Amino acid sequence: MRSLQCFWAIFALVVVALSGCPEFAPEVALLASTAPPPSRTARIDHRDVAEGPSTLTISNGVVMRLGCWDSCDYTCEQPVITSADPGIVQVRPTYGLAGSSIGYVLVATAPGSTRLTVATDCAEHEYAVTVVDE
Amino acid sequence: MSVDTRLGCACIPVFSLGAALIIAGCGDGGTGGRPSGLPGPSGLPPQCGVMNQACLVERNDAPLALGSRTELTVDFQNAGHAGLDISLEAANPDVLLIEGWLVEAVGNGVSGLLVVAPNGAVIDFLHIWVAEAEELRILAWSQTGDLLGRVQPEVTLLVGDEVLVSVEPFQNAQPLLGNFDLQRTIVGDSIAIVPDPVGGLYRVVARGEGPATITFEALGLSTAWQIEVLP
Repeated sequence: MRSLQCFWAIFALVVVALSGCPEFAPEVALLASTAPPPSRTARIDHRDVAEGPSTLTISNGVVMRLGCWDSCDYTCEQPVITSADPGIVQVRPTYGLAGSSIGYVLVATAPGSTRLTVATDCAEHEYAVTVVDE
Repeated sequence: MSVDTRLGCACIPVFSLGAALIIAGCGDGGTGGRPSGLPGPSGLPPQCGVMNQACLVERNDAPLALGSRTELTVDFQNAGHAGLDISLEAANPDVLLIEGWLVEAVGNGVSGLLVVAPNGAVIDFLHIWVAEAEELRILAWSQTGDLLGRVQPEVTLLVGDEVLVSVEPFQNAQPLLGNFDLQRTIVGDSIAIVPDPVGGLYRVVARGEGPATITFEALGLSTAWQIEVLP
């Protein structure tokens, strides 16, 4: 009996050791690098695809600097960020001096809803954007 | 009745890494708005843009009054380079209207003010509030430019007295920024108003015995000042 328990314990350890780490799908995410002005909103709610749509809510007239992260190298190099309706939210590059990386800002130009897509060599992700008039 | 117009003296220095771009602005003479060259009622520290490239350092520490405007000009201190041909953009044109370097407050609310490079890249941005003025206040200043406080609605002067005043829009206790057309009406011959060489200031001089009333009107508001001049 005791040897049987020992066998199953060793078997379980071998199974765990051989299985390695669980694999996750590549992922890219946008981050809000700046806070909105008082009483206004600039919020990104990132979710895994299985958890439902990611959302981005921003007040009309507010500008938000975007940060980016991806699961491949954690640097999110050269992301392509696209607004489905630039009449509602515009994606603008930031001015980068020599040697500094170029970032992006999001400009809420009119109330409404649209989509924002961020894509890198690692992954792609979509956000449901709502520009609120407050 | 007299009408004066002053376009602002707001200053936005912009500093960037390895180079310094300075946006500074001073407007024409005239009156209406916070006096230029003076510290003003609220002496808050500079407000820098969120990307730490631009700082508002003078008289941009409060909302703009709805209907007012301020003019900005650009000065570059950019070692080793010619200055960029930068421009301003408003995130919400229903709040801020940009014409060159003239920023006009056209709607209540908040709007991002983008400092933009020629290729469309954003150098920095700030958020500018616009608020509707609720009252005009008459403020008294010393000859050396120190704010003395709000004048009483009814005052007594002696012949030969002078009072240096400005007229500023307020929302509740908050003084508002910007420049605007200001009308003044004087009833009575006992006083005279001389616009001060410093934009935004009036020199009220008691010339002779008797009562007088000064009425200032701007931004759809008015305020009256009763003055009794004694011999």
